[in-house]
Amino acid sequence: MLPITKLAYPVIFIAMGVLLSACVEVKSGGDLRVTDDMGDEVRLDGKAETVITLAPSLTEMVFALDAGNRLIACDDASNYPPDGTADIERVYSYTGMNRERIVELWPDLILMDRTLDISGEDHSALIEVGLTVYRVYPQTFEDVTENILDIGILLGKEEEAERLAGDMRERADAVRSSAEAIPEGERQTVLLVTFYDGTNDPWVGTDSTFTGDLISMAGGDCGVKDEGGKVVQITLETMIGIDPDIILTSQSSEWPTDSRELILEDERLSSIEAVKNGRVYDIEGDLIDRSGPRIVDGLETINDIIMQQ
Amino acid sequence: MISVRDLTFSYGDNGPVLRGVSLDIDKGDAVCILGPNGCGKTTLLRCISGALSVLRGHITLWGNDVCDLKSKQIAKRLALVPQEEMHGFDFTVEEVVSMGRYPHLGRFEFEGPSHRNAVREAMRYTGTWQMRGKPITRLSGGERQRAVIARALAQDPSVLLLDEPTKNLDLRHTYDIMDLIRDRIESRELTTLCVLHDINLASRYFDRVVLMKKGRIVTEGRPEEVITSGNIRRVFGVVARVRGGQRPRIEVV
Amino acid sequence: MGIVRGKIAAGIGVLSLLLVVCFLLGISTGTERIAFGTVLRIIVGEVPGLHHLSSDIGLGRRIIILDLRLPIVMMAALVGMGLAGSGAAMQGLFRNPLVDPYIIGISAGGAGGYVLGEVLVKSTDITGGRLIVPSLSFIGGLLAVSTAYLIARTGNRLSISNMLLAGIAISAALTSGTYLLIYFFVENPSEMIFSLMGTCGNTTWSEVYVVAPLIIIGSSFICFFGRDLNAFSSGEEGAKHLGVDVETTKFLILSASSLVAAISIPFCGVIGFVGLIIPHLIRRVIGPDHRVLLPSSILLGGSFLIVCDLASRSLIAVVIPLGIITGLVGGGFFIYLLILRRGYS
Repeated sequence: MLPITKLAYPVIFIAMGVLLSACVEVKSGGDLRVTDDMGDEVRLDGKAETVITLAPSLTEMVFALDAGNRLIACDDASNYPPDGTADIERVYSYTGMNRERIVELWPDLILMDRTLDISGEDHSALIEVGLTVYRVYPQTFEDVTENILDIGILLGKEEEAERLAGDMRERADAVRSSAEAIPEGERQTVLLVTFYDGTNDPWVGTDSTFTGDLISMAGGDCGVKDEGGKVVQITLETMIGIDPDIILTSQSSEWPTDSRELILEDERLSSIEAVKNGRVYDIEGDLIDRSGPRIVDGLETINDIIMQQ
Repeated sequence: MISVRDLTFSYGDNGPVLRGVSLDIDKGDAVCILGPNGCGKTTLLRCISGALSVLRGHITLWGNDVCDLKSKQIAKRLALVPQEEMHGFDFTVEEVVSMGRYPHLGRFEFEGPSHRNAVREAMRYTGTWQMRGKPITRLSGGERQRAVIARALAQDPSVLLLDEPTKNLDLRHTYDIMDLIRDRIESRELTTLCVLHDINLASRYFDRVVLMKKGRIVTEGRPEEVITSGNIRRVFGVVARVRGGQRPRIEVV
Repeated sequence: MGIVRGKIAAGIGVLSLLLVVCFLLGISTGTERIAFGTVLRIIVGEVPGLHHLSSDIGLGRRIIILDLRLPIVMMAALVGMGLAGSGAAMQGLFRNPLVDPYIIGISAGGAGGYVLGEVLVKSTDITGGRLIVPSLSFIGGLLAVSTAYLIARTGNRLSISNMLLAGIAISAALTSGTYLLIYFFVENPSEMIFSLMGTCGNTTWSEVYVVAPLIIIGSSFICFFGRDLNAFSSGEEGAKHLGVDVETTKFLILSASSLVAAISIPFCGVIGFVGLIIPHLIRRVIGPDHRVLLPSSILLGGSFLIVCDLASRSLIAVVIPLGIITGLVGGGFFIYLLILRRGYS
């Protein structure tokens, strides 16, 4: 007969081990797992019932997935869909993030765009306190559709996400084939002017920005080549040298500008092809800046303009 | 030539520096002003030249009230050698002396040969020709003084006002300059009004002496009339023995 | 004297040539590469009767040279000339080689007026901002210097030293006020400060038309006072005894200098050191005679600022404000001169 005392220790240890692993098992439970654009794994126990978005593109995505009622707060700049976003609380603007309020609200999921938080400070601040954050960092059109699918999973709206992404891809494919139909070497040069006030050098999009990507997809040749991935300023001289066939001026509904008129009326730019032929078009900034569901609208708009020979 | 009537002047609120001074100077006169420090000698000179604006009293230069004359009109005929002059930039001695010709030049005129001759002559006379290329800021006090005198001579004035022209000069230069001035007075009938410190120098070179004390003219006249031990004691507070003659000399006891 | 005359003529000749060279350099430099021969043909082709020389060149190129680069270079030249000339004149007037035309309040007033104009236009939505801002800046500069003048004047005599002091005090007060405006009312302060520190890039012909007459007339006018300024070197009283109408001269020189400096600010920003270093350089090489100093400074100032403006726009990918370039170059050069001078004491 074994002495009870001698058996007790191993039994106790084994029991403790089982209990501990059960706890760990519970902690690492999370039936929903996706990897976000920054390589972090995001886990949720069940779909997110309350969401906070910190970028306009993400707000649009949530609404497009028919989950707008789950949005409890968003950022300052979110304004689409207008009736959906009219009364939502704001907790994020370019001057700062209201972390305390976000913590108070304690959403199941926070959606962030890394482009608005390059240093990662805001993200760290949220992760530190234990909130769940999914970060997007889209560089291409495909990235956007992937984001939509991931977010669909996290919100339990996989079907809607598949439908939306599929629709976007179809439309993008249609645009791509029209672009491929353009013979080699006959692509028009497109210059996107994001800001021009008539006095200072204009700000333009480059081929390494998201919109540069859109322009190529739509069958154009982005006039400014630069690897920085950001908008740059060019001199009027350079603009005359590029001599674009089409100029797109980015318009925003909140801050209307008269860049288009300024460009068309400036005598110094009169030698540019686009100006001579009157091919200077306003384009809604939100359609091409926001890497959300309406990006495909922006793509189609650019394509339409390019195809208008 | 120069007429001063009842001149009263003060610089600020510190009380008048000149009180009711009246003086007449005719063409060709060689007048010397003597007096202790602060008696108003320099101020008198500056009022006559038009540098200071006079509120009480009248000063006429060759018949015109000084206030009515423009600087250029005065400068064409009257030159003033100041006691001290600070120079802002390092012009050469020749350039400084050439400035004496400015009153005679039209606005766009550059100095021609006749002007340059006048400058050269003035510099030779004052022994400053050999330093003509030196910057004025690098000269000693005495050299600078001679340069300024040269400038006044180059101005070719008919009236010359001098404020202690020999103050910084060594013995030889003192007498050289005084001889030169006396020479000019005689040859060109230069009307001269000179402020001096040295009573013996005044007596030797000038025909008329004006004694001033505390803003007033105490007495004036020929040297032998004015330079008496009584006057010296009254004005300067010093006991001195006077060696008489037309050009009296004093010896302080 | 004949030798001296020759030297002076040679000096002015060299400086004029330098100005032409800098001018050509200026219009040949830009983000688009255009061959020098083409540049020359474009310029010469503007002369009536010689149009055929440039008729084959594309409109774009011609616009780049004639409407983009040429106004920029002209503005830089004009402002450089104006600031150097008035700097030299004011140094003569104040008998102080450390005086700059801005020191008597013009830069503070001009900057203040500029910021005020921008704030007003942005907040009240008035149109005609392109007219209002430069006007306010110009008026601001003149108001500041006029105030200093009035403070320093007693009776009908202007005390130069008091004017300097008043100018410094007014500058301090106005600069604080300007910063206050920027802090509270300007949403993009770095952009505002950038504009204030200057650039001649993006100058248009209409701006040149506004600036040119004032600077050309003002600078030529100043040159007429060369002899008077020489006389000033002996002091105000000394100058009076040499026939200079001292008070009138002071007023005229100050007015001309102020106008020239004030008109530069709204279009080129506050550019320091040009009025300080150029006359200094000329004085060292040619001498203090203002009859030569003034035109020489004007010529060298034009060349200098053309080159500085080129550097500000072409050294690195972004524009370095012109005021910073002139500060670095001018300041550095000044320090170098001072070190050299230590031997002389």
